Amino acid sequence: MVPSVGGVPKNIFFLTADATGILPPISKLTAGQAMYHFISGYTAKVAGTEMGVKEPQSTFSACFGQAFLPLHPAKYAEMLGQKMKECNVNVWLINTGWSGGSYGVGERIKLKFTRAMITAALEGKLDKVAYTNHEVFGVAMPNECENVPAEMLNPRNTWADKNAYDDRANKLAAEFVKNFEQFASAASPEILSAAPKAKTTA
Amino acid sequence: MNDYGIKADNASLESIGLKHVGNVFWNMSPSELVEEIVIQGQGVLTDTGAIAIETGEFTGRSPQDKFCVCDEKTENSVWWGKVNIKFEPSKFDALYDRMKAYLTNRDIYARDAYACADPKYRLNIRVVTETAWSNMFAYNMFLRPTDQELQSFNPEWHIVCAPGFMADPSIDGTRQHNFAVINFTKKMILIGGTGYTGEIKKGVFTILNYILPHEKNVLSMHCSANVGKDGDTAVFFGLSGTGKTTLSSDPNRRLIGDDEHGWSSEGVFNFEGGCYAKTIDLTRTKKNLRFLKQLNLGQFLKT
Repeated sequence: MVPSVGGVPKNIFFLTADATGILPPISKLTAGQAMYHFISGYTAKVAGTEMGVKEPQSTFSACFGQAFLPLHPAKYAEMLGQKMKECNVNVWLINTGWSGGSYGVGERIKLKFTRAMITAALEGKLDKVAYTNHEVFGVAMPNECENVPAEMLNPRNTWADKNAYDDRANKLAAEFVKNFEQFASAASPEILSAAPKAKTTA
Repeated sequence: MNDYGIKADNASLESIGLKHVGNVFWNMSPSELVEEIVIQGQGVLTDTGAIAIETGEFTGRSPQDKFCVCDEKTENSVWWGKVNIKFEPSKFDALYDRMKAYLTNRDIYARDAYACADPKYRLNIRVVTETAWSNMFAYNMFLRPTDQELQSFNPEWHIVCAPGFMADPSIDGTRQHNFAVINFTKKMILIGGTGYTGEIKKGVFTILNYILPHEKNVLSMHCSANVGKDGDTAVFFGLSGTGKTTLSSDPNRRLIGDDEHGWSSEGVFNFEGGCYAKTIDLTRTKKNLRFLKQLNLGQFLKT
């Protein structure tokens, strides 16, 4: 029997089921962004059946598993940061949640597209394409990806109402920033500079 | 008290102060456990051979009832707050005394298992349970020693799980009747008042999240992991429901594990030997049938 072990990671994926439909289906993170998103541990729950809850609820769980951490999240983040640098690993943020609008308006991103994006990343195919930075989150979105319609790679394209997208993106950014306040004192300038920046409208 | 099953000659529950229990069933095989479960009316066999259990009041973990003993070892190392709620050492001893009293003359199931697939970081755990089905959970979830290894097994940590023991907050210092209390000094986890076996799984994960980064310079991670044909490893972090299990199962890549891993200087290793998946609202659609068919004898379906 093969023991359940493997070599040091070449690729790390942060999975988030973003019910707001804001985060790109795949984006590449800088070291600072990787640490920022690891400490944030964002996902969103759908509005569900609860009375009066119409908007997706943001959930932040440090290191994507806060409930199981006996040590301060900064300890795990520091170790991850060190290992990422030593091993030259790619870090990707994957939105397995919604596209084309928030929950209720948009649609859940199809599993076949998410799988195609992950396969492209694993096979190194996204090393050769051009990227566009997300205006609010700053993460790098590939302009093309095999077996994935190009227009969905930038989530803003998939929203009928671009102003609504920008407003919701700013709101989500504000939620990230507010959640991060509790960790800000333990974070380096590199991590802090990776925070999303609300876009000012003219 | 009589001992049955496979164990090391010197293995005894007296080492953790359990002196007056009934029979102790050591490392029973899945079929023996299934028989016990069915005979005692605690569960039913499904048409696929998996055993189905009603875990009762709790069908999920209870984070507000998870405590950690605050003592010399943990006071300045643990991240205290709502995730790690302080519990006094004397209260731990008193609570365990009451659990011991509850377990007097009751039959007990003991399971020796490993956590961590890399032998260098392997943790020997002994899971001591009131019910046969929680014991079967431990058999499925953790890594299994061979029969030969069981005969010289030396446990480092003990997990004592008594779903039928109800704490009294006014005596025990708990929030309500259910609890999971971790003691890093005594290397014990006490679980009571809940039949949700995820408390055992995540209790062990919590101790590894302390020991590995704090004492062994290994990063512990809530992630799934797989390896490609060229030996390239990928890890997938994500909260519940974001796709860890789904996206790490890829026909072109070997799965390392679907939930908890360590990252040492040599690479990535699974903490567990099994898989724990929620089947809530799963119905017999064509797609789900594939999953349900994988549930065979000795596996565990919770309803």
